[in-house]
Amino acid sequence: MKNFLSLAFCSALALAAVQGPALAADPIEIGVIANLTGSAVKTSVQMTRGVELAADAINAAGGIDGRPVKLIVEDSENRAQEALNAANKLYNVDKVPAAIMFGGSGLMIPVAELAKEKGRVLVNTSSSSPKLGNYPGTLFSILPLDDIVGKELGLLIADSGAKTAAIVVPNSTFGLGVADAAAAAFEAKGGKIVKKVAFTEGQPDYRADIQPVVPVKPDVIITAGYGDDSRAMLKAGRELGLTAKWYAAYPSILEIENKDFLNGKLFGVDNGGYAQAAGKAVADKYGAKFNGTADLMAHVYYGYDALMVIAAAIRKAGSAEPAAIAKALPEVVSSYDGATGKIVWDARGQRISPPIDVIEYKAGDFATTATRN
Amino acid sequence: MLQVLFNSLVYASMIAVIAVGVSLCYSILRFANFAHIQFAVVGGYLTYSFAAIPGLPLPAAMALSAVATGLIAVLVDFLVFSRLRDITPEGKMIVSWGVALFIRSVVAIVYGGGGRSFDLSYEVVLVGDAVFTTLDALVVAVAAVLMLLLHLFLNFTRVGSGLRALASNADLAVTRGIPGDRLVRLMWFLSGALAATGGTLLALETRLQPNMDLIILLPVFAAVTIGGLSSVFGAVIGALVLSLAQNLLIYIDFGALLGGESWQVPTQFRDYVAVLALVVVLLLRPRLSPLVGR
Repeated sequence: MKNFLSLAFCSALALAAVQGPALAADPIEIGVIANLTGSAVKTSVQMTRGVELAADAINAAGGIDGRPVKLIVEDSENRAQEALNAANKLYNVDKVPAAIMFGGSGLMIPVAELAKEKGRVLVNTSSSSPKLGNYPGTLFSILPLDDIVGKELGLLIADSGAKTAAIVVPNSTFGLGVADAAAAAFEAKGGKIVKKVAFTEGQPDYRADIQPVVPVKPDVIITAGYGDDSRAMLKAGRELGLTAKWYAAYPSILEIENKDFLNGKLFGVDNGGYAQAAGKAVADKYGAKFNGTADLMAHVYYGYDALMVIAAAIRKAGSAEPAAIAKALPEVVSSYDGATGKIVWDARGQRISPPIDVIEYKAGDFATTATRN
Repeated sequence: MLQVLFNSLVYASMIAVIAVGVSLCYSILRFANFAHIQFAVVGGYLTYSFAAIPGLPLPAAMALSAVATGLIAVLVDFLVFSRLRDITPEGKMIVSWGVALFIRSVVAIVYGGGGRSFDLSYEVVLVGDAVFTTLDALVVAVAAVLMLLLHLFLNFTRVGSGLRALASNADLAVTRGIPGDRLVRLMWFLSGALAATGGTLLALETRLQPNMDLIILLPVFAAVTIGGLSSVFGAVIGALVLSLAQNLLIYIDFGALLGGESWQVPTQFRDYVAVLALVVVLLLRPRLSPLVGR
C-alpha cells in the first residue's frame, strides 16, 4: 500500500511537471455575445462556431505568445437589454479586454456605447448600420457597413443600363441605410429614383405599401430585407404583377417566395472573398469539426476573422490591455488576409473596399457572376 | 380608384367572415367574445396542417379545419362559458380574454414563433391600371357564398328561426319549446367554423404568424361595432365600410392634393381608422339594437 501511494504521488508530480508550462500560462479571455436563444438563432450560432474555429487554430499553434485563448460566450436573446447584460458581465465581471458580437444595430449600438464607456474593444461581425462608425477606437467591423454595400449596389444598377428605379425597403436602419446609399450612387451616375416605399415591418401583407410602385413602372426595384418580411414583400410584388428586375443588398438573405417569379430577375451584391484559399481552409476546418459543410453560412468567416485579428493585435502589442489592442488592431489588419478576404479599414475602424460578389438568382439558386474590388 | 374598390372588397371579405361570428355570439349570449379571434388563428394554422397531408386538397383541408375549429369552439363553451351563463356580460368578456390568451399560448407551443405561408400558384389579372389575383377573386367568392348561406340559414330554416328567436328573447324562446342549449352549441360551432374559414382566407392572402390575432382584433371588432354588435348583416356592412375607409386613407396622395410632393399616409396607420370608427360609433350610438330576430 505504501508503495502504491508513493507511486501515485510520483505519477502526480510527473504529470504536473509535464502539464506545468500550459497550466502556468494565464489564458487570455475573449468575450462572445450572440443570439443563442432568441429568434433567428442559426446565424449567431454560425458566427460563434467561426470564433471557436479560430480559437482552436490559435491554441493548436501554441496560443498567443504561449497563452491560450479562452472564449466566454454570452447570450443576447436578440434583445438589447440582454445584450447589455451580457456585455456588462463580460466587461465588468470577467474583465475581458475585447468582445466579439453578433446582432443587429439595435443591439450593437447600445453595447458599443457601453464598451466605449468602459474603454474596451468590441468587434462587430454582423451589423451594418452606418451609425456604427461613430465609435472609433472602440468598435471595429469585420462586416462592411451598409453605405459601402449600398453604394456598390447603386453602381451595379447604373452599370446594368437602368434609367429609373423604385425603392422598396423596410423602414429600418438597415433598409434605409442601403436604400439611401444605393440611390445616391445610382443618381450620381444619372439614374432617377421614381418612387420610395419604406414599409413598416411585421405586417402580414405589403401589397398596399408597394401598390404606388405599379403606375410609375420603374426599370428596377432597389430592395433589402430578410426573413418573413422579405417573403411577404416579394409576394406582394408578384401579386401586383411587377415585371421590373429586383436589385438587393445581400440577396441571399432574402426569403425567396416564388422561384419562378424571381428566376433571372433578382440581382444584387454581397460580401465576398470567401472563395479564396483562407476561406476554403476555414470551410475545411468547419467540415471536420461540425460534421460537414452543408449548413455552413458566411457568418462563420466573419467570426473567424474577428478573433484572428484580435489575436494578431495582442501579439503585435505584446499586451492584452484593451487600449493596446485598440491601437494595434488597425496596424495588424492592414497585412491580414483573412477568410473574408483582405480587410481594409477607414480611420474609424470600419471596413471599406471589401471584396464584393455580384449575385444573380437563376435556376432557383444564387450564383456569383462576378467579383468587384 | 378601382384598385381601392378591389383591395377593400378582398379585405372586407376576410374580416366579414370572422366578424359575423362575433355578432352571432353577442346576439345570443350578449357578450363580446374576444376568444373568437383565436378561432380564426387556430383555423388558419389547422388548415395549414391539414393541407400538409399528402393528397388532401386545400378545399378539403379548409373544410376539415372549419369543422375541427367549430368543435373546439363548442368545447370552449362546454368547459368555460356554459358554466358562466348567469354572470354579467362584462365578466364573460373578461373571461373571454383569458380564454384567448390560453389558446394563443397553445398555438405558440404547437407551432412556434416563425411565420408560415401557403405555397399557392395563382394568376395576376389587370383591369386598366388596377390589379387583382385569381386568389383575391376566390376569397371574395368564398366569403360571398358563406354570407349568402348564413343569411338563408338564419332566415329560411327552422333551426335558423330558432336561433333568431333565442337572439330576440331567449327566455320566451325556451318557454315556447325551443331547445336553447342545443342551439347555443350550434351557434358556437357555426361561429368557430366561420372564424376558421375567415382565418384561413386571411392566411392564404397573407401569412400565418403568431401575432395574427392582434392584427385582426381591431378591424373585426370595429366592423361589428360599426354594423351593430348583434347584427350579422351589419357586421358585413361594417367590414365593407371600414375596409373602404382604410384603403381610401392610404390610397389618397395627400401631398399632391395639397400641391406639394407626393405623400401618402403610411399603411400601418390604417388601423387607426378602425380605432376612430370605434370611438365615433360608441359616441354616437350608445344603445345598440339587435337586428337579428327582427
